[in-house]
Amino acid sequence: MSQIINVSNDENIIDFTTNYIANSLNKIALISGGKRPFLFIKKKLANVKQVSFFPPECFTNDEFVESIIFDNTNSIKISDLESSFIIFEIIKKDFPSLLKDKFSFLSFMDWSFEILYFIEQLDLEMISEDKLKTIKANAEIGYDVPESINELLKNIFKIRKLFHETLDKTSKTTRGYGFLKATSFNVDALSKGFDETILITPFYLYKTEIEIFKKLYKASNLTVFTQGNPKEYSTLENLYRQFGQNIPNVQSKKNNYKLNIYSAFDDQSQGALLKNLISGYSERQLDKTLIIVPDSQILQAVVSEVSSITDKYNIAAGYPISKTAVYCLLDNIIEAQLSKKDNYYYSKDVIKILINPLFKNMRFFQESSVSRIVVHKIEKALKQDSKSSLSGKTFISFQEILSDVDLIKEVSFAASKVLGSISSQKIVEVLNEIWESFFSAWENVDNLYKLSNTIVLFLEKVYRLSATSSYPLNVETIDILLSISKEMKLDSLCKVKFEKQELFSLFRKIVQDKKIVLPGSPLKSLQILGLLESRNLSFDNVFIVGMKDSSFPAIKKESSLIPKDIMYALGIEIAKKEYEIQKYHFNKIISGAKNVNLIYPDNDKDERSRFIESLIWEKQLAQKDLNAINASKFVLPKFPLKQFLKKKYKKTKEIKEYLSNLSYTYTKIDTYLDCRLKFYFMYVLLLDESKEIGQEIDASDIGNFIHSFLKETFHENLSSKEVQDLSFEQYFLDTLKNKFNNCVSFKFREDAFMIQEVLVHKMKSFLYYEKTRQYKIFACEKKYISNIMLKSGDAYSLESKIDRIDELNGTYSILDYKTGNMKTNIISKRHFENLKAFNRQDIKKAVNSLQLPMYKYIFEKSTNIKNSICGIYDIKKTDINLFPQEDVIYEKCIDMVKSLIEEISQEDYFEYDKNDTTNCKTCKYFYICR
Amino acid sequence: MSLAQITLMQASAGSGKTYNLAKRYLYLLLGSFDNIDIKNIIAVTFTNKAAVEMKYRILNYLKMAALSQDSINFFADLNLPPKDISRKSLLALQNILEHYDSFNISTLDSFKNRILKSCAINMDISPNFSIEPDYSQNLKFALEAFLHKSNTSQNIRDIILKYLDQYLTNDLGWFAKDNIYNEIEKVFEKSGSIGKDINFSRNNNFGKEFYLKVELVVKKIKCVADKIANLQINGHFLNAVKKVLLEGNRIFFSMNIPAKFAYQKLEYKNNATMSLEANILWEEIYKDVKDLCNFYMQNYYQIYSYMYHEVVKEFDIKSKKDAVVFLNEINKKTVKFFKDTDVIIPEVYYRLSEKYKHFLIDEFQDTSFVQWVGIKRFLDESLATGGTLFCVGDVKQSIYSFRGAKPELFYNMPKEFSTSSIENQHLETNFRSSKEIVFFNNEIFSVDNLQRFLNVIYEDLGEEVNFDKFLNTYRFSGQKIQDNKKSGYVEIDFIEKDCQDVKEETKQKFIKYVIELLNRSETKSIAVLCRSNDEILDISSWLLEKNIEVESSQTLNIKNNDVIKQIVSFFAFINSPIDSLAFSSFIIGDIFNKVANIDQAEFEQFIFNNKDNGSGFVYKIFKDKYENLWNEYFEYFFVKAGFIPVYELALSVLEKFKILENYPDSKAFVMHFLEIIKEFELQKSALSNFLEYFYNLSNQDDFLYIKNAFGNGIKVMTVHKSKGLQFPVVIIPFLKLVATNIDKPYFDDSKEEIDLLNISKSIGKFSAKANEIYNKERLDSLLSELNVLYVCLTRAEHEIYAIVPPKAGTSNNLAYTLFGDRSFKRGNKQKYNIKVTKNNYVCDCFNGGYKDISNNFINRKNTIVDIDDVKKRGTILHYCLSKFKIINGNLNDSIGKALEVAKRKFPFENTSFLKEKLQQMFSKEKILELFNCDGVIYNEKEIVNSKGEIFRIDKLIELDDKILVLDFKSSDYNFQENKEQLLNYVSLISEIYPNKKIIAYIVNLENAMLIQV
Repeated sequence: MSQIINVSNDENIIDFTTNYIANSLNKIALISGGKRPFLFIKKKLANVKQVSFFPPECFTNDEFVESIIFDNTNSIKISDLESSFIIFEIIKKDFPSLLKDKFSFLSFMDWSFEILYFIEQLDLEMISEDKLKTIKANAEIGYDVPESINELLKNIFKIRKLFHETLDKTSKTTRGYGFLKATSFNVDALSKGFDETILITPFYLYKTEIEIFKKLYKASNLTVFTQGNPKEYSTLENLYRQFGQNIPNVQSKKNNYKLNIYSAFDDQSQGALLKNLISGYSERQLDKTLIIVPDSQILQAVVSEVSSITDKYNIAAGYPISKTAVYCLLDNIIEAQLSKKDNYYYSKDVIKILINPLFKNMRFFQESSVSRIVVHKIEKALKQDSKSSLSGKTFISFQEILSDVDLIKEVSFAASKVLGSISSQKIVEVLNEIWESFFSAWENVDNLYKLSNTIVLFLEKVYRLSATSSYPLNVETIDILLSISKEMKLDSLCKVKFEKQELFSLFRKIVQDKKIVLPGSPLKSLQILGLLESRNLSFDNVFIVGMKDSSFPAIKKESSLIPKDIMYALGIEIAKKEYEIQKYHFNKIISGAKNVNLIYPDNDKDERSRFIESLIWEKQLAQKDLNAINASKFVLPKFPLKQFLKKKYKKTKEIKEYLSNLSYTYTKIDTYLDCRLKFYFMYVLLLDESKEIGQEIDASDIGNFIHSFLKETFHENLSSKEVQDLSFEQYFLDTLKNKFNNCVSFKFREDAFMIQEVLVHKMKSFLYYEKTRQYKIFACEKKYISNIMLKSGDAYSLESKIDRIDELNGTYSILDYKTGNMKTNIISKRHFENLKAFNRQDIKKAVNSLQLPMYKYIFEKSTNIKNSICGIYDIKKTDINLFPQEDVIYEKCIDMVKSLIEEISQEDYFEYDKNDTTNCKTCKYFYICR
Repeated sequence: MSLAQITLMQASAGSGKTYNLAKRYLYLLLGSFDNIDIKNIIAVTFTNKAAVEMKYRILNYLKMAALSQDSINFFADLNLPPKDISRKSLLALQNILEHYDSFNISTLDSFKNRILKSCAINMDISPNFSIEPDYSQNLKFALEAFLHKSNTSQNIRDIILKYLDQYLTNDLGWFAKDNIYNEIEKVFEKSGSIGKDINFSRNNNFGKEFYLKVELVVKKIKCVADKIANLQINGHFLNAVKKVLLEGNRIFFSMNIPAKFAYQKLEYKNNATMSLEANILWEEIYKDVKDLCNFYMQNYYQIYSYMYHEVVKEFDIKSKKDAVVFLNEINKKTVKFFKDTDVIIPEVYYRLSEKYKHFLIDEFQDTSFVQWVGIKRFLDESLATGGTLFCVGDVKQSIYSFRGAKPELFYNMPKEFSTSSIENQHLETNFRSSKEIVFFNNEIFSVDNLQRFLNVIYEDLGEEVNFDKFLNTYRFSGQKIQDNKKSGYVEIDFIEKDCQDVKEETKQKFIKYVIELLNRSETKSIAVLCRSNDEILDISSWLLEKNIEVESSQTLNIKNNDVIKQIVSFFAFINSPIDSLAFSSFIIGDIFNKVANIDQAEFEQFIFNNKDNGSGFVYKIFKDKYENLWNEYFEYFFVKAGFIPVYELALSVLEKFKILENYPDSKAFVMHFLEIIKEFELQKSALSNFLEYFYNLSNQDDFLYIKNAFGNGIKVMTVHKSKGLQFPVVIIPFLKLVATNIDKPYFDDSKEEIDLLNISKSIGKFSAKANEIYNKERLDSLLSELNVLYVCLTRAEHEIYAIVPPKAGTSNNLAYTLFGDRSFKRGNKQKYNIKVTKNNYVCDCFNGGYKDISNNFINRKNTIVDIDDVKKRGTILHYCLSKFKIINGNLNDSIGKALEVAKRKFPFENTSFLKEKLQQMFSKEKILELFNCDGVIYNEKEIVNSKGEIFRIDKLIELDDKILVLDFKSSDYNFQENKEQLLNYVSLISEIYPNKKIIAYIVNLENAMLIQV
């Protein structure tokens, strides 16, 4: 005998179901929205029976219907991706105007999915085309259905028809179409041989499901347990009506739970608040505690905080594979393929792959040292300041790596030290193997089938040769990626050719939401679940975090394809349904609890959940008091917002000795002038950041290029006469062109021709300017060494490398090429004149740099040449900015140098000076300077 | 309530704007006779926060009324019996809570976003588009794509070369691409905020044409030079000509043209003989120069416009591919949507499933033109059908003109809606500030004072300018005070014009104020308002030097926190062990020193001693020297870190180095750091990417600042951030007023499309149009700056202090003039404290204890990937056997059927091995017999024991006298273990079938062997 039983809201549905079936002799099928309650029912049954037993068969709603479909048809259920591709093909053929300009599957895919989703809804809700004709001006906004929307609807109904035909032809089905077909099965097929089918607290059922269950109901096979007052939920009321039952008179019981509402400021703090709230719970209490996490974004924060007080928890939500090292390596490979130009890979991308730990620890010759050595040596070779032929390359080819004989030798040598003799040939073989799997194999992939094969090979290699199993999330990721790869070999889509970019985008879309199932015990321990996963469960203590209105309830407010009112008119009330479902489950879970704790983020962007608003109002109304309930705010202990004193560094005896033996250059002096700590880190500890591999060339690279070019063309002994010769110009420009073309870093920049234009322009200006000057080049990039005597009588050594020294009639011009922006005044007259004491801050105000006076000093002293002049050669403006020729200025500058060296070598500490903060933001020692 | 269709409410600072907005909303809802539903009202605010606050306020007023506790008589003007108000409020409240989605109070941008989402199909954008704030990567990509085209398109290459010609006339950097990007970015930004496209032409001959024009002018000037050589010409004219002769074309390219060419007539010395020929020629030159300058102004950016147009094409393609719409484009896209499609408002309403009749706009002065155009279509429709519009704002607080805000929309309303009735209202009472502050502001911002101020500065400039807009803005600036706010204090202090060190002087004055204030008040009652981050930096350092607590972008920035710096250093080392700087940074830090229990000096010495270690890396030497420390603290991370996702890595680092236990003061920073990692991991993964992301977070980025400060320091913030807020005491340490320079290019948006113009003071000398624009923009900019000052001076409740420096940059500080060169000291000082709210607090009392998520897997047995599908094949075979039954005694058909089912069940798996396997199995008679017996067969049968443990039996056959149990084993198995398992099954089954004999078999699927247990 079929029946509907309304179970009181505060009754535990697990207990009720167990009691109901415990003594039944029927062959029973249990159906519930989620699987979790079945575990509890089986456990409870064992408690009741006290002997072994065959439990009832349990199905989720979908499993039940799908098993019927599987048993009674020959069709295979296809993925949404394949379905949407079929829809795309139909539209392309018969409704091209819908595509607008989106001719590739990828560009139309989102719409294809929307249409599929809509068709699925039409199927699930058994909406016939006839229904379309009945849609009139029934929208609440009071307008007629616009023609454009009507037209679209008609087209979609036609697409649906063709879609069904295609599915039938190929013995395929979708969820919706399968459900639709199942409604036509006879009751024998639907009952699956069970004497009694029990639906545990269904709430919203599709029309197709209702049709199926109605048949069972009529055949006296179905028992339905409901919970909640049907008069409060139209969905529930509708359920009774559909089964032809009268609406029972259910008394809504007063809620007995204790309600607390809390706010915190972000996700992490909500997790921390939660931790504080449950910290006193015993293990037994934790077993009876549920944490609902409506939005997976906050899960990590919750788990991290909760894990510090218990390790006995169970999480229903998965962990995204996109965060794992395996996925990251795969993603890096894709990136490398996308940024590749001709046979050249972007060095930065190559390094990203190589330094991925899975790669770096791969075992060749049964040992992971070889791959580490390979990575290390290539990384080193690519560094800008290395001596390798690969140094500083923005793009590299495999051939270039192989051609670097020294590199191969170095790898072979280093590997031999660990593993015994390993020839260069062997190393080349290893490199070939690596390159094939991580680079070459991906180059010709142009469809999902090939991509799938390549990924499988890659995963095999990574799994077999690397330390994947040392971190469980990586193992799980490989498993998931392997099964995705299999699924990618779909019948209709796998051989379709794609542009590389599109193919990889498609792949990323396929995997983006994949998650690793986290192990745990669903029966015992603290439960961390989503709202729907908590269906039909009861807990004494319920916590809900992340209760912002956009995620709890989570409802898609806008409908991009078919307007909401049309959906209503057709009988598909998605948003309304979603809202009611969430409201129902929320009320159900809290009314079964003793303690309810709701946590929401209180910040500038989020709004707390309407469910909280309703509960607050309920309380306020009941107590007629606006202060009936107030939210408690989570705060961190007060923390000082005062200054942390920066460290100072003692000049130990050894350091002082080192400083007195140091050879001082103008950069050292200027650095000290800039910041004492910077000097300490840079020149005492010799710490320097390594320049990033594959970094796009910047102004300093242009500087190096020009320096090197000018050294080559404006070389030692060149005279202005030669420069003025017509053929020199030709040589000068040809050299520039050749040098530019041979620089790979320029080659792969899209704006290379623009840089070249600018360079030619500036160098031409330079040349014309040079033609107006008279000189013979005395020296070029030449190093000079000298020393300086301080008041104390101690001598300190000085050195300099001067870009260029011109000579004319016994007068020497010391020139320093500058390609960057320059301050116009080398000294600030006002501060210079007012300079009394030679302290660092005042010197800093008076001079920009002590480079020129130091050059002059070192040059004159080391060569015994007097009366030299010096200046900065501004390459950008083609102008020479001379240092003031007054001796008094020069001498004062040298005194400054002396004073600074004295300070460096004599004072006891390197200390932070608050007046030096101007460049802190961009200083490379920002992190060490504390 | 106003009966007019349009109500414009001017609400000066502190006059209860939000109160009135809420009142309007609720009066519409409760006071109407035509069933106004929440669905028909829409209120738009400037920020999310304001929207949420507004919602809470409305709910609160309704609750008060519903419970008959309306102590402020909020609904008095409705003139309804209290019972009715209570009943109506209750219903309205229930309606709102039940239909919360229709409680339409949001920002204008999110309203537009809804339109875009709902109408995506009409707009040809992806239904799943996301809104992204930062377009720079896509714009850079688009520029690259455009440049890439130049490899194949000669036309594009020519265009770029022409651009380069123009570029090279200026002394710019080596990378012309950067210049293009910067210009394009400006245009993109502006085009988004104005909502119009850029006018462009394919004729890109500016350079050439301009050159020809210059040539001609210079030729004429040379000619006039000959003619005037022997004439007694005014010296200035002569010098102007000489300058051209000396410098040639260059002065025209740089627009450094001598002013005398702006004079139509050639001037002579007294009584000198004139030359008609020279005069005619001069007039020609005058006209040519004028023409030249107009040409320059109009066409200089021609080539940029064209390139912009091309780059944006690429940008749109990319955005479409990525299914992304940028924040900056939302409004423009909506406007374009209405313009380009034939969609009518009813269709939009249909798509939104809502219809609005009543519109409320908050902060109306900050509404930009493009936002207005987007909403106006709706207003036209609603006003025509009896709807209303209510705008509230304050033109004096319009400080977002740089983002396109158009406060003049307030005044344009009669023009915009000529057939609607309009009512202007002014809120006159200041509920925020004390008497002295209100009176002071009334005086400074009075029209008389402003008129005087403008007269003085424009008298100096000698220009005639129309001040109407400026003065109109402050027409209603005078405010009344609330009766109970009698006292208050204002002090405006000037720094002497001849002061040698203004900054030092400012510092001294500022610190003096603060120290004096702290004798009377708590730090948290003081707010310091600045204009720039650099000013904030200075103020923060000054206060910190005095050991005063500060909440500013400096102290709350997690990048500046020592603990975070050390964690980041550690991350950097783990990411790249060869990074010795990062490693050293970590080992000389407190975190490591503390856990290692070794003095920092030792590690400093260690680094110093090993600085010249050749190719070796510091960490390697450290590893050798401090083996134990290495093993304890580094080895795990060194080997494993790369396998661990960043967030989990951070947790492990916090635990290993006991960071929260040892540095509880930094907890807020650490938690925010975790939050940042979490946000990062929503988009990307891997430590190297995280470091790149973190390094690139700009100090301008709000995301870097912890926002949960307990409020115990002096707040230092920008004026823009302070808008809408109030504080007991406000200090403005750098009070400046100066018109900013006019931006280049200038965006002339007076037509359908935007023209990019080159406007400057020097061009203005020769071009009337440029001059007019220049003057107008300067005055607008001055007004905008004055508004900022107004906002600054109206934040305080009780006391306000300001220090006025003589200069603002290189210009004179016009605030001197505004205050009439007078310093102010008014009122009385008192003791003020911030009211403590009634909130209950839960204070965090944990430090650390974090665990990496992989701990969850510790007990999981299987960590082996089924790379060869061995397990999978077993599963498939199990399934296939469960579906196998003998059909009509035909083994082949039966196998075929089972295969078919298995293939359907596992469509993506290789099932080709099955046939052979089944044939092999069923070639064994005994096995076949078991599958062909007559009993009741259960496959994959679950059995639960008395403890509730669940077991699954592969096949169970119930015969009259016995039960057969079959366990399939597909790969290597442990016989003994399996036997025990089967015996356990037997014992469980015997509880169910106590009277039957139970026989158990292991079926070895590998070799088709049947073993009875």
